[in-house]
Order: sequence, then structure tokens, then C-alpha cells
Amino acid sequence: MKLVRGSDMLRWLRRCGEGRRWVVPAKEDRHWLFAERDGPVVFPPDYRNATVGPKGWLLPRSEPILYYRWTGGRVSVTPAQGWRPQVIYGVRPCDLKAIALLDSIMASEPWPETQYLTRRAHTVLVGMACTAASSCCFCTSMGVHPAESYAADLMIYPLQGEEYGVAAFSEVGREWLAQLEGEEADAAFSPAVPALSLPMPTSLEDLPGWLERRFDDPGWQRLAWRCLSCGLCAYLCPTCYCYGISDVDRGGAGRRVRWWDACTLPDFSRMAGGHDPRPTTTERVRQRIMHKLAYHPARQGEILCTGCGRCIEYCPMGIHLPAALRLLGGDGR
Amino acid sequence: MNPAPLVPAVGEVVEVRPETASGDIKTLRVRLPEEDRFSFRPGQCAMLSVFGVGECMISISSPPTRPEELEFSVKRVGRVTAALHELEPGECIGIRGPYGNGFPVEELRGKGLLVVAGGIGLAPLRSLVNYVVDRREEYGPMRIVYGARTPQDLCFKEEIFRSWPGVPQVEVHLTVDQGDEEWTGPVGLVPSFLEELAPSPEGVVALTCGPPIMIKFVLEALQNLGFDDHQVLTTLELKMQCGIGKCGRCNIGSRYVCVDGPVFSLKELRQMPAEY
Ligand SMILES: Cc1cc2nc3c(=O)[nH]c(=O)nc-3n(C[C@H](O)[C@H](O)[C@H](O)COP(=O)(O)OP(=O)(O)OC[C@H]3O[C@@H](n4cnc5c(N)ncnc54)[C@H](O)[C@@H]3O)c2cc1C
Ligand code: SF4
Ligand code: SF4
Ligand code: FES
Repeated sequence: MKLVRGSDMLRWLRRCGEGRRWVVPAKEDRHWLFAERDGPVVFPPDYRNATVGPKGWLLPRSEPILYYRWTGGRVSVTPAQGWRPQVIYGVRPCDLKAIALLDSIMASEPWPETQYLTRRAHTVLVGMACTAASSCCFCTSMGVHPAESYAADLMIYPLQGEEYGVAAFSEVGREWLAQLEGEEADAAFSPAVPALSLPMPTSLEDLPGWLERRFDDPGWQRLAWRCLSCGLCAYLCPTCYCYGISDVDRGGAGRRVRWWDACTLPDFSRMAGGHDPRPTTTERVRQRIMHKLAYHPARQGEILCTGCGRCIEYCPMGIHLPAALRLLGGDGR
Repeated sequence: MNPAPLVPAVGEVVEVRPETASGDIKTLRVRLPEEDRFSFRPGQCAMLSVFGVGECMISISSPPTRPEELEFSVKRVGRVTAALHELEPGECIGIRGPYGNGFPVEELRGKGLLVVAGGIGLAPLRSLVNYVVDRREEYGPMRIVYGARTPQDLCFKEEIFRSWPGVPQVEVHLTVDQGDEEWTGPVGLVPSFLEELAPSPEGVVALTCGPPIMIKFVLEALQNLGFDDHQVLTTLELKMQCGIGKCGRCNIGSRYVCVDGPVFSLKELRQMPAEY
């Protein structure tokens, strides 16, 4: 790792990222989100993580897939080119891990999602290790570490006062780091200790099986009674990626867009004619939690939750993984 | 490979054939430009689109042995299917695919086939039937059991009444829930009709597709007839958007119907949560 003063680091980053869009944590009213700005910034001491993570800059809330135009009974179709070279700066390890998970999902065979992958390939991720946790963080319970780099090209470790350590984890990262004047050293970084330690009913490896055995548990219904079907959990979750596709027609021309959807919304799996395999909130809440903790692990070997704590902090009704595990575990029933 | 998997190729509708008297099912014959053609297996699907209305998943009902044109048989049930019904010869249609696993035609080689379908459910199986007809010597005897609500609702009339019964070692058994003046064949639901026919499970694989309620009782009937779970294949239907295992929509437990299905053996089905 290279040691560098904060102001020099920002200048160096700005120079390396010349010509790219800068996406950085920005405060809008009460909330932090990732927004386009001139360049990298210094975080205020009380900054922990953004309410809305960087997910939308890789998988936008709504984006065109293609444009079409009808002329004389024929249609012409133009694939959308929805990417610009960008740097996403200041991404926390839980969100870096989430991006690594999205990468593996979008790259999966037999149909890699080239639109996502292209945008991803034009993105430089600059991570920022955590020195302090927010009240809802539980990353380590999910096997995620607050100083790990995951999908990052470059990782920044805040040290003492104005001093930072920077390390590279990819080709681009190493190219950039080579241009940084700084002392090579092994500085000791003391990462944050997450506020919550989730009492797991079983080991992470056994969690899918533990949950599958509780597929018909009445605890799901208890959880669902409170769910408002607002979809917030999915929108804020850095690993939720479900989307819908629809056409936006402007009379003879238009675009096909894909947009964030949420499995807790009532129409998510409703089919023509009215049949719905997940007809009530109970099945839908179960789907969200099972997808993360049981189905995805069975499919791709990894839990689809990084312990970022957003669902704990922002679900208006307190429905989240710890709550689910508690209810299904037996106590509180 | 299509560089952007969600962007369809544009094909041309060559023919539109109503299948039923009420016109609620139509078969579209479609031609793709040479460079966009794809090979596929029976039971696979494609995402069809009418630009400006949307997309929906439809089984390819023609066999891969007749690759120049593709056929899709569409039941009108909602927005996109209604728009597909309005297409006329010469008009443009979006197509991407092929999606899903399809029927395991290699594993089926040499075996007897029992095809059990209801209504529009014959569409994916029609691809298999014609594939087997075109490669007759590679497969054992084929029995087709097909039913619909009324005689008017039976699809692919030319094939079920005329061409298939004339193929060596192919039997076609038809039933309707409700007859009419001209109907002289059996009247009754597919599952009970199947139990009456009592086909032997010896060296046979059963393949079924139809409305969920029919599938449920057909699976029971097959079990009563002595078919083992691994001898029974069925196709499932779940809401779809992407068709490529990425939109998180069509899962049953950890399986995605769009890439791991729609064809599952009864053995696999029993290991999945009953959420379909
Ligand atoms: C693997 C598979 C194969 C199929 N093969 C055929 C076939 O050969 N012939 C046929 O007539 N129908 C088939 N279907 C059903 C067909 O996809 C639906 O009837 C169709 O999507 C309804 O679309 P709609 O816009 O008319 O209905 P709407 O209710 O307006 O649907 C809105 C959107 O929801 C999705 N959707 C709704 N219902 C379904 C559904 N049942 N399955 C999948 N997506 C749905 C579609 O994307 C649709 O565009 C198949 C479905 C699957 C999953
Ligand atoms: S779990 Fe909470 S955030 Fe998610 S839909 Fe229900 S109420 Fe909204
Ligand atoms: S499930 Fe909750 S804690 Fe886990 S990654 Fe999603 S928002 Fe964060
Ligand atoms: S239709 Fe999108 S995952 Fe199957």
C-alpha cells in the first residue's frame, strides 16, 4: 500500500479519472446517495454509508434496452448504448461485495448480460474501507469484512488524521497507483467493528437447508402481516437486481426499458388470467428472504446479503433478515 | 451470440392461421433474416415482441427439422398476445431466443413416447411430435393423448386428424370435455381418458403440458398407471420478463424456469417447493 496525504490523493485521483464521469457520495437534504459530481471528495467524520448505494450506476433504476421506429410498416431497432466511462468513488466493502455478486449473476451462462457487463467494464471502482460502523451494520455476520476490497480496482484506507493508505487490486488500479507519488509501506489499518453481530441459528453453510426446512413455518406469516408491499427493501438493497421490461411508446417510435422491480410488490409474479404462484404477502416476503439466503446460495454458492444493514434501517415495518431468522427460530412466536 | 441478449431480431410474419373456431388461438409462421436464425430443440421457447406493446414468452411449435421458418401458436389472454393476434402477413415481429432446456431428445431416443396435452399445451409438444415424425426410425412407438374443451377448441386439426394418424407407429387419441353434433369421439377429461387408455409404462417416457389443473391430475393418473417419477416430464409456466435467468422473476426455489426449465421431470418437481 502507498501512504499519501488526503489532498494529494484527491488530486491524483482526479488526474487519473480525467474524462470519466465521477460518481461519489453526496448529501441531498437528509440523505446520502451516489451522485454525479466534479470529482472525489473528503467524507465528513460522521459519514458511514449512503442510504442509496451505487447500484443504480451499474444497473439503473430505469434504462432503455433499445429504441424502435416504425416507418411504412417496417420497424428499425437500435440497441441502446447506455454507458459512459465512469469512476465510482468511496464505495464501502459491503457494497463492493454486492457489486461482485451482481457481476457473477450478470455474467452467468448461458446468457451473459452484456449491457451490464459493458457498463461494468467501463467503470473504475474506488473503495473506501470502514473505520466506524453505523448502528445497523452486520457485515461480518454475513462473512463480509469492512476492509476487504472485493470488486474494487483501488482501495483507500483512512489512517491517522490526514493520512491515507491506497492499494490496487486490478490492472487499472495498478496503472493508476503507479502514478501516485507516495511512500510504499505496510500501515496497520484498524477496521470498523460492526454494530450488530447477528445471532445465527446455524452456520452460514447450513443456512439454506435450515431455511428450506422452514418453508412452511408460520413465522413467515407473522412477518408478512407487517409488510406494506412498498418495495423499498429491494430498491435500497445493494444485491437486489430483479427487473421488469416494458415498452414506452410515443406514437410510431419509442423505447423498450427495463426498470427495477421488487418481489415484494403484488404484481411481481402474477400471470395473465390471474394465476399467481406467490399470491399473498406471505409468499412474497418469504421469496425475498429465501432468494437471498437459500436459493441463490444453492445456485451460485454465495449468500445474497452483505450485511449492509439498509433493510434494518429503512424498512418502515422492521422486516429484515435478523427479524426473519428470529421469528423462524422459534422465539418471539 | 447476440451481443445484447435482450435485443430481439426482427422477423417477418409469413402466415397467420386461426386454430380454433373462436379465434382465441392463432398460429403465426415467421421468417427470420438468414443471419438471425438459430438452432433449437423441441420444447424451447422464444420471446416474441410487438414493438410498442411488449414481449411475451411463446413455445416454438414447429420442429427444428424444419428450420427455414418458425411457428408459434398463441392463445390470446392479455396485452401482448392480443397484439400478436392482430399481426398480418408481411408485418414485423421481434424474436429473441431460443430459451429454456427443451425436451431431452437424445435421452428419449429408442424409447416409446406418451404425449399428453390439453388445449394450447400441445404447442411445445407439437414441435417434439413433428421432430419424431421426421426422424421416425430413431424413436419407439408414439401415443398422443390430446383433449380440449370442445371439438372447436382442438388445435392443429390438420395434423391431429389427418397427418399424424397416418405415420407408422403413431396413435392419436382425442377427447373433448363437451361434444357437439358432429363429434363422435370420446367425451371426458384428459386425466380420466388417459387412465381408461391405460398405456403401459414399459420403456416409455410420458411428456405432458396443459393447464396447471390438468397437469396435476395427469401426473396422478400416470402414477396410478405405474409410471416412475423419472419417466414423466412436464413443462411449467411462470411469469417471465427476461427469459435469460437475470430478472429474478420465474424461479421455483433455486431453479429458474426460463433457463433450467420449462421441462422438468416429476422427480425434479418433487424436490422443488410447491410454489408454481
Ligand atoms: C415457457 C413458457 C412457454 C409458453 N408457451 C406458450 C405458447 O406456446 N403459447 C401461448 O399462447 N402461451 C404460452 N405461454 C404463456 C404466455 O407467455 C402468456 O400467455 C403471455 O406472456 C401473456 O402475455 P400478455 O401480455 O398477453 O398478458 P398480460 O397479462 O398482459 O401480461 C403482461 C406480461 O406479463 C408476462 N406474463 C403474463 N403471463 C405470463 C405467463 N403465463 N407466462 C409468462 N409470462 C407471462 C409477460 O411478459 C407479459 O407480457 C408460455 C409461457 C411460458 C412461461
Ligand atoms: S419488507 Fe419492509 S421495505 Fe420491504 S416491502 Fe415490506 S414494508 Fe416495504
Ligand atoms: S438484505 Fe438488507 S442487509 Fe442484506 S444486503 Fe440487502 S439491504 Fe443490506
Ligand atoms: S424470466 Fe427473468 S429470470 Fe426467468
